[in-house]
Amino acid sequence: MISKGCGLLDPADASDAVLLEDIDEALMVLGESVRAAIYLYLERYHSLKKDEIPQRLENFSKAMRKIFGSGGPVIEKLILKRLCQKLNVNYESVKDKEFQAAVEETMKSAD
Amino acid sequence: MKAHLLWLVIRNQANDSKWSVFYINIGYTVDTEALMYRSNSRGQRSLREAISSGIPSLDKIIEGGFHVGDVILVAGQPGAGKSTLGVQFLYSSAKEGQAGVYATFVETASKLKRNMLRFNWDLAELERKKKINLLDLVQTIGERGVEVNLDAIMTAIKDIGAKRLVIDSLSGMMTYIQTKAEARSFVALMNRFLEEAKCTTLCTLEVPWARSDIGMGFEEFMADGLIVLESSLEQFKVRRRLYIPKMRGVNHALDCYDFYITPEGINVSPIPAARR
Repeated sequence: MISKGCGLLDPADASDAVLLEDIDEALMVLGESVRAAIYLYLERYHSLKKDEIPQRLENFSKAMRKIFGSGGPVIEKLILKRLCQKLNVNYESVKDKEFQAAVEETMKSAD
Repeated sequence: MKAHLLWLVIRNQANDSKWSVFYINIGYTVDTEALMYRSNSRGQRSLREAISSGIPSLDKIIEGGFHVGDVILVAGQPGAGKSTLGVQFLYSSAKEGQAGVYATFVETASKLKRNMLRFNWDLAELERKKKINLLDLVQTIGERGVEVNLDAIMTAIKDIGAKRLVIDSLSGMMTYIQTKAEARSFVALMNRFLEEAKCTTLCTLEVPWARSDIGMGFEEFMADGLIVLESSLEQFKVRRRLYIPKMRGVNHALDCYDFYITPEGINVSPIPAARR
């Protein structure tokens, strides 16, 4: 269990929080205004709120491809790399999988 | 005239330069008046959906108007006529019922309304009719993030079902973006928003006096078209000229044209400046 404030965080919530943090950090490479605009785009045109991303990775992946075209997977790789580093999982073992599958496997390996 | 058509443009196998056109009814609504056939100098034809710039004399040198959904930059020095061109683009269609949004980061909405009355363009009236939404974002450039302004623009477009947008100016909107790389990514992303909104957009770009480079040096590469408005001092008088270095998918004129700000708005001379 990970403590959050004075309460405790469910393991699933904790891994979601880690993933969201990684997404935040990866998108930050484009700049703060762009990151904020990406979240806005996800919400406006894909009905995808930031905190729903961990549960809707396939939609997130589709939206990334819509925004960045073939650059979408590059952003996904950035996210995955950070996630693997944080959860101490070998990136090489998941890097060739689809984003959703790779994230799920990384989370599972870290349990 | 509205019709339910599917257009099929098929290359003639025997003669590569000829195209055959068929259409069948599929229940999809298109505005056939806006669909235009154009021929370039080699006689090749293309089907395109054009939207008037609001200036008939400008439409003549860009094959009838802009491509629907395109993002066009209008770059110019102070006083060159960028805002007038932007308002004319919206006003002409708003009078006909097509709604538009004008997001101003430069001149307050009240001053813009006052100044446009000299052309007899009553923006307040069209605002009341919900045909024009004037977004005054002059005060919010620094206070809020650029994405908040973008959200306000997209909401305004949705609210009145706008098909035209003017951002005056893109330079003003991006004032607080720190780096060129971030600005470039932001413009690319903004283009995605505009695609989703299916809006034809004019973005003005401020060019300071005695400078020849436009914006941050990348905007013209990312836009679909670029119209440059120039003003220079000739024999103790300001002379205004316009040229179009870029208009994707349009066989546009390459000459430089004098233009005038008349009581009816902008009017482009039909004769290229060099030949006069």
